[in-house]
Amino acid sequence: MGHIRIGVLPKTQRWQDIIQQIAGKHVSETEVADIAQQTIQNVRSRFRHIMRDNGVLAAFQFLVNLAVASREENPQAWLLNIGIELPDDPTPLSFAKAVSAWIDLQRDSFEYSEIAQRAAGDAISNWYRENQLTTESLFKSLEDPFEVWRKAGDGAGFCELSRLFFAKFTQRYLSYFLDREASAALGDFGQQLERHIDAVSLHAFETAEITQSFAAGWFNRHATEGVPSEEDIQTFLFTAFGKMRAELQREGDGE
Amino acid sequence: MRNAPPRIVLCNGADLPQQLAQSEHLVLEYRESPASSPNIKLALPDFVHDLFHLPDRILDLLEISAYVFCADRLASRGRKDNVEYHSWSRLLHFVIKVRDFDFWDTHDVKEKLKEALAFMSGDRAYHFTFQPGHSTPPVSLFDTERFQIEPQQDTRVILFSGGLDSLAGIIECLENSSDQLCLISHRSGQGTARTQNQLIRALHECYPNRIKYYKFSCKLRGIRAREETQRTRAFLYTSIAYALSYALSQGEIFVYENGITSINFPKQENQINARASRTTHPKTIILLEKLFSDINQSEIKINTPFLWKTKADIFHILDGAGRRDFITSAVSCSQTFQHLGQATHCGGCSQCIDRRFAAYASELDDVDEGGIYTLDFIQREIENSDVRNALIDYVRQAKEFTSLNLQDFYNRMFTELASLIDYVPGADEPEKIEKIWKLCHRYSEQVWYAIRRMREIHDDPYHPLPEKSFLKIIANREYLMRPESQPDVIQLFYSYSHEDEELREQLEKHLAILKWQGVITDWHDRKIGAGREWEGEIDEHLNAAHVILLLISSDFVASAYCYDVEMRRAMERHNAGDARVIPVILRPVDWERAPFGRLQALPTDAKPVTRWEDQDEAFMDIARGIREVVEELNQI
Repeated sequence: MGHIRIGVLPKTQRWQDIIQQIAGKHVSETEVADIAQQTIQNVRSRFRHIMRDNGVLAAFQFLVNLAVASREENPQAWLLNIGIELPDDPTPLSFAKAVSAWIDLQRDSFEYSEIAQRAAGDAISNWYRENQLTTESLFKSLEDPFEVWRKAGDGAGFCELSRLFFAKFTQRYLSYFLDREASAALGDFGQQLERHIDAVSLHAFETAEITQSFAAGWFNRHATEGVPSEEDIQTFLFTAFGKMRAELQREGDGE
Repeated sequence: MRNAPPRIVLCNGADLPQQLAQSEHLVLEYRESPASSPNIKLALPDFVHDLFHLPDRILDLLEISAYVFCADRLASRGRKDNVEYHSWSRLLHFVIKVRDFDFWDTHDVKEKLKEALAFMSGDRAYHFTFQPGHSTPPVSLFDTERFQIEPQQDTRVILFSGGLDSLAGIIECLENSSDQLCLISHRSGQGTARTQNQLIRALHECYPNRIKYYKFSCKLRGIRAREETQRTRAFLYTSIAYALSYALSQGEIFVYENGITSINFPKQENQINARASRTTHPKTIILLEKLFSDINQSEIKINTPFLWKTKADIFHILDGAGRRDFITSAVSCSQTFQHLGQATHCGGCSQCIDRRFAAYASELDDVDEGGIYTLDFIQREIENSDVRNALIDYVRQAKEFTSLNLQDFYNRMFTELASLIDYVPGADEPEKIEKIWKLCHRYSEQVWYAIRRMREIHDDPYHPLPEKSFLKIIANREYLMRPESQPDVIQLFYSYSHEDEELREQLEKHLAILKWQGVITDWHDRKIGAGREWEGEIDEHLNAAHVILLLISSDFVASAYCYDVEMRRAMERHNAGDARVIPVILRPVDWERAPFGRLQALPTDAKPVTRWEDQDEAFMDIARGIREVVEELNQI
């Protein structure tokens, strides 16, 4: 009992190059960017699968539904109608449990959907932390549990919520590989990587016109009058992941 | 990503269903027959023989759990160096002939089976197709419904693995109750059987007529396991325990496992989907409870009394019961299938690592060493990179727990908490989160204390450390150390007469929190190692201590060594400002005119401990006083 299956990176040259790069020393910010870029390069082809994965789609769809529901008169009833069940007085953890139940219905790859579920959980907990008035209310149910989500119900709010999701997904996905080696070789690599991805995502979503205007515009276009279709959400996933990946490549190239 | 097709497993001579006719399948069988030779050893008749009789439904359960366990061992979950671990999550489809077809074929029962197995294993899904018509002959003349074991009150059914946690649970029950204990073990290999037999013999000797021991053998026969992870074994273990509890007319079973191991928070991002095992995870336990309650048609409870304990607490329980001599006989290692020679532990798997840290944290490392580990990771080179990673991940996670306040812990463990919170006891969500956080925090303090002790004991400045040893890794990586803002650890020295040993032990217990928190370390002459020169060692610790406690009594002042040697040296250091001396008045004696008579004594008003109506109150008062001094010293 208490067994842990220790993962190791593949023995191919391109992964060994990464291991060499991170082995036995503290890594500068530039090197973190470079390692992230190389890792992205190594798993480039897999992004095609991630973007099409039903579990990933479901995780992001949950957040979209939450943002849309927050504008409704009775958000819980609206969510229940599409199959998302919440208790009468939901806490932040209730939303995390609901994400899990929602994704369970449509998992493809268990690996991708688990990472996506955690990224959605991160987005929820971060959203609460940034938009909640008191720390105490993080743990307790609120009089109006959807008040905090109403801020996600317009283009700007949704842009930030989706940024959180894509940043956390990318960070967790890179850690999925790099933890196998970084744990033994590096100091605060995990934190450095988190900061780096956060900065990259901010850049992608705030300064790059394509993503910010796309996210806000997409939400206003598809979610103001109704609910975005799966196809709409799929398109968004393609664009956002594509942008994240391009930004990571650019940062790694030192541009 | 294309999902792999289901692996079909035919059991008990089941027929391959028409819709699966094109699929490759695995046949599992434990019964001898002219048509096929068995590939599983399942000692079900022996088990039933001991219990006289089990109903069909429970016999089915035991067979189902055995087949699931064996199929789990035969279905590979992919390589550890795969880029992504898609093949980890398998899809297994069992086709099993059963006796109680009407029960097993119900939708609700199948769903409960699937949910429990999928969660504990991290597998994609389990499907079950049951077929009627299975039967086995009675194992004896008594194997009928008319014969049952006489129900007895005060009986407890406990799962006994041969590890430290279940052993401590058993000893705690034997010490604190008059219950009859019925222990049940799964027998998988010779090594495990040897360990279990040895411990049972020792328990029988120490606690005659208190224990009944049952065993259930289940393993592969003539085929090699392709998968060592065995994530479904909890289903087999608990099914056996439930069957025994049924035969003994009990409505509950006991599983002793510490909470850190049960919850088993992943230490790396890739340890998702039960790659950090969920064998006794609170959710696994509740899902199994629901399944067994359905089978039983009345509530079955699986108790986990050690959920809020750590491994170091387990060591303390054994020590507190005066059973430290049992410790080396209990086996925690998950790699016992390796050829370990004389050693019983590999020393490098996650269980061995946890055990060694816990032994140091509980100051029982001298008991736990004794050559039981093949690898001594503290002082020797660690050649295996998996072991190095596991070890550093272990410390890294403990360090993270130390640094997280409740809110950060909540955010960091958010998704994990979501899958845990409904399954742990507690009044409400905030209370449960706080309990989990406190458990992790206390555990992290213990790991920290263990590291300090490892360094204190083994880091000899005159000898270089082996390059890849744990101490060297720690020495080279300051990031593993506690943040600088943490206060220094204050060293405490007890000067006392051996006549007051019991009182000194009481005080030590009251100061335990300060020790767990890493605020103090303490020393007294009972910690002198065998063969060490006692006077020199006392001097060494007396001269290094930040705080010296003089435990005052008539015996203390009458002892030439305490009074003339230790007290004088203590006062010299106090007067020089090198240490703080605190007289602790244990028993009434005329002490005011002694050299330490001008010092602020404890407890409050220097009222002797033995004069207090409640001695715990007195020691609590002393502990508070000492904490204040320690905090004051840390601010200087």
